[in-house]
Amino acid sequence: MKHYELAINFYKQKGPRHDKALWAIRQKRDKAIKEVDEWEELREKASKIKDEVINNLQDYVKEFIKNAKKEGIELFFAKDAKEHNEIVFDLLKEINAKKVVKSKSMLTEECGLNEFLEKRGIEVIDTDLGERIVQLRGEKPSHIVLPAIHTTKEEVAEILGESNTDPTYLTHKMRELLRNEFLSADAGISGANFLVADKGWAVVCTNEGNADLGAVLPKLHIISVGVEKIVPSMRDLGVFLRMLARNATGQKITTYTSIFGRKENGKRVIVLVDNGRFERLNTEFKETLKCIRCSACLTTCPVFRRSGGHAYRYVIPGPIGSLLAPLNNKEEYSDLPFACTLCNSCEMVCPVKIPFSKQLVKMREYVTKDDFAFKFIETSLHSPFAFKLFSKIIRLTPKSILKKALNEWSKYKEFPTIPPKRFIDG
Amino acid sequence: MDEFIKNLRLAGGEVLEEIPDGWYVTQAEFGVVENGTVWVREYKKELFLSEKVAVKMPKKFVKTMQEAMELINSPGVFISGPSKTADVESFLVFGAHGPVRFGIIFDKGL
Ligand code: SF4
Repeated sequence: MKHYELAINFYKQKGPRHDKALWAIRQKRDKAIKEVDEWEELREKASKIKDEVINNLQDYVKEFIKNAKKEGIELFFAKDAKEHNEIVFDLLKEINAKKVVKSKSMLTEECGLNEFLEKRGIEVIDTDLGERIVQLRGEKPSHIVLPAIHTTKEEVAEILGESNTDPTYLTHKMRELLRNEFLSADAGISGANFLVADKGWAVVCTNEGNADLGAVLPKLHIISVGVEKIVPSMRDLGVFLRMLARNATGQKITTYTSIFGRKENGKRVIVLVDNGRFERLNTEFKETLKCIRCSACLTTCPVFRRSGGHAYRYVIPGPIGSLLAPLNNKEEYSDLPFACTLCNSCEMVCPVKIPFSKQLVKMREYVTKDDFAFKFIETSLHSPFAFKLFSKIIRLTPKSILKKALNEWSKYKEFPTIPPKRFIDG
Repeated sequence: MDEFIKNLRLAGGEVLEEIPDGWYVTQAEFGVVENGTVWVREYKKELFLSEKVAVKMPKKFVKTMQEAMELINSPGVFISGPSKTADVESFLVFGAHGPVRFGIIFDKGL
């Protein structure tokens, strides 16, 4: 099903509540950034740092690997999702792991790690409470920072087999259930928000403490992370740490900002993943690599707020997902860049200044490049003769046939009356 | 310092006069005024497994995270209040996976 169909279903069921919840977060975010006088300067800095990194990505990857090894972290480089999953599986096999606790990592979602490991007999427990809710529901996260924002407390109670729908009760119930999983897990897997090149450290920002329990309890801690997460130095990291939580949820900072080097009581491994990122550097969409996954563009998007994240059908939904998904699979996701009013709200909130309005229009061109209808219209708009002919054909076609031909478009919109004569023809 | 304490409280943290029984206690090196967070170098499992965590700290502060970065020369963790989540219908709940309560206690004699 396409975005608009899924969006209509979602809106009828949950749209207004979802919209309201996300708008409240957007307002909290606005309040939080107003307290930082130099916010715009920070955005400018953040954008420049990310430009520097993606323009010299190869060098920064080399520097990070060198320093992380020096620090005592084991390093792997995976060129694609398959290689990533195999590396992780081999690491787990080595210690005969049966159960892993995972904290939020959009990259492992991108690679389909859970399914890969489960097929090979390893149990994967998502431990972020929101992710655990969607895992138990047999769904995927609908938002990259608030994975279960589409669910109600009644639905959470139901999936836990509880009749009490009090959020505190339900949260503590899940904490209890998951604590046992942490204590009996053989390994922990997490993502990372940043990698510091000149130190070789990985930085993880979370609120729940689940990533830390997964990092500190089992003997093996695996960090799966995309190459674009590198920042050059601690000084640069400081810029992002001031922005990330404020822009995501309106918190001044997440509860934990953990900086990982060598693991004291076991082994820490970082799997750096390319999966198309280096290739993207050579395309007109390379700026999407600047994204720090703060999720502000999802939360602010008027389409996302009403359609929910699942309508995008991709691991990363919303405006940034509408750029990333078609790069991953053009046919499957060609509708996404059109699930957008070009209102530009995403560009206004993006901490690294990804030029959304331009990129989304470019993406529309990209996905329709080979589309016959679009090509035909484009050609006719470029030639006065063809345009005349084309408009004549439209004028002469009965409205009922036109309506049918433009079914998707006309289904939810009033079809305009086409005047019998062109204005220009007098 | 007032601003630091205000932000610490906003994040759910408490200022303790003395350490009650049953709290896990560790040392923080400094606080960050803009967000009420503290820098703890010692990364131990008790920090996350304990129900209640207290950190002793000097009255040493930096204004922003950018300034904080200048002081860090080893791995560790910034902590801002008790662990929390809003994953059940956006209600803020303390004690997600880690501590339910988090307090600081200033080193004496400063
Ligand atoms: S594109 Fe920008 S606003 Fe959207 S998640 Fe990434 S960094 Fe945040």
